[in-house]
Amino acid sequence: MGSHLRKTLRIIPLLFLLSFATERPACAYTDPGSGVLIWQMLVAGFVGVAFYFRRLTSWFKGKKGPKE
Amino acid sequence: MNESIPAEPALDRLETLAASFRDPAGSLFPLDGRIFRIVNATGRSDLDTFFESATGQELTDARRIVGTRRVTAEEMRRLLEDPRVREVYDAISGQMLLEHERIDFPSFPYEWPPEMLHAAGALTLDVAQALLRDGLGLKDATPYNVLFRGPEPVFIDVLSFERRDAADPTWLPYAQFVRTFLLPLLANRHFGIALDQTLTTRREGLEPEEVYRWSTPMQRIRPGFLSLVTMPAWLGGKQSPDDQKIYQKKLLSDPEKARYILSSVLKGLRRSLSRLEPKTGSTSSWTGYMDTNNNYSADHFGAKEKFVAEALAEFRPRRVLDAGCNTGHFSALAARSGASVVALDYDPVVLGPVWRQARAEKLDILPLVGNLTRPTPGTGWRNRECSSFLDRARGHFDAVLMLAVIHHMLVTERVPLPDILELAAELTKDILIVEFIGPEDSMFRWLTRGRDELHKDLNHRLFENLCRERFDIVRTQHVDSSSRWLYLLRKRT
Repeated sequence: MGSHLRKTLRIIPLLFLLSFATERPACAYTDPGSGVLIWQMLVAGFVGVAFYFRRLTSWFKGKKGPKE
Repeated sequence: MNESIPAEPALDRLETLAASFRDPAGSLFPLDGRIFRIVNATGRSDLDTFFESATGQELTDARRIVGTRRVTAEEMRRLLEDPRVREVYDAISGQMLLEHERIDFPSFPYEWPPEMLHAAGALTLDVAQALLRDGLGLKDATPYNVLFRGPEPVFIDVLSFERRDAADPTWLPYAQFVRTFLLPLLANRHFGIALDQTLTTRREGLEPEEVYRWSTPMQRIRPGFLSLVTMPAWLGGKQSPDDQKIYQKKLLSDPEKARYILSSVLKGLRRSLSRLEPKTGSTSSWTGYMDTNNNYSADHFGAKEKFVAEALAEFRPRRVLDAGCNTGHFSALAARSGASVVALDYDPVVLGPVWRQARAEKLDILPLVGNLTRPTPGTGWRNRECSSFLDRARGHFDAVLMLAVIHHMLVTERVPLPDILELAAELTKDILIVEFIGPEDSMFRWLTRGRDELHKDLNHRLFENLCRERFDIVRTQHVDSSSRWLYLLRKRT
């Protein structure tokens, strides 16, 4: 039962990805290259969160005192 | 910015200089075989900051950026007496004149095997990452900012360096790097599309939308495609062209965070680039040619090698063109004898290993994808931004090797023999080492595919007579019991 559920859960992100894979880009004029810039911004957003997370973990490590 | 070395027309025909024009900060031009760059106030302060920085010093010392020196006041005064130099200098409000190291043979991305584009991309990311330390950045990221000194990539566009806004986490050339480095490498790796097919006519490389259309649904969800093709194509499709908000600068209050993001983004690009590293051991119709198909026994091959080596030792050419180099065996021979070699072959797959070997053994070999019967044209604005292969090659070489290549030009491309020899005489300044293969040879017959009639009058005597129109025959060697002859020819002056 558990493994069945896990399998189903694994399929969901795959289906999600497939929805991009089958999307037909619009034929109307789009701004070429803008997609790459937006993607960079999304990645930057994630990295920004990771930055605070890293700062937080190093702060905790700092509280424990420096390693000898 | 977006640099290429303009063709240098003959000076007597020259009224204006063939100067680069895209970068508002300066202009590059060739003059009397030297490379100069005029820099104006816009470019000057960034350039000074770069050369004073630790990174600037390190990159210069490692010879990873092109050799650059400031022209002295006296020299500058003399150069500006030339009205053509003065015209460019005034037009861009010049303030400073630099002279660059001349890269022996400029080459362009559409002439590189994918291994070289990959190396140029790695250099670009190395430079961008190193600059971050000193608060600097790269304005653009295109393969035209890189040339090759032998097999080594050299960053040539010193005006691409700029002081970065410390609060800005966006790398604007990101998209350009994807279009001009990553997507052509991806198209090469996954669809077998050679770089000349994508880059000769496209200065700005490939758009994710184009690659998206070529790819199958299964490819689109692979990690390499997701970040470079699928997501950008999908996001671009959702973006309204009227919405300019994404192009506005987004500044962060914490400069440390901005730098961390930028550095991570560059590392991400590095991972994408590593995934696209061309595989070793790829094969094509010509990869096994030297081992199996070239009609030479080991003895015969040894005799041919000796003939070429002796000619190289006798004439000591400084610059050699190995036309139809295949595995680069003779290019390596020439490079080891002290020559600077351009190794030309139309099959990019055979050139990958040639480049790897040259780099590993530090041999001065520049492998280029090209075909003498269909040479790379002049490209860009007025066909003058990047000069044609022949414009760069004519009279550049002290020796030209045409080993087991003439019959391909003669039979496959149907170029008349006198024309082939005329071109050879234009390319070499001194010697030509050529192998003649008669119509009885099995390789020759394989190429004619039954059209033997076309070459029935061809024999080595006729070949020798045609050679004598432009060359003196220094010596010849008949490869025993075969229809192959080797010639060492010297151009008559």
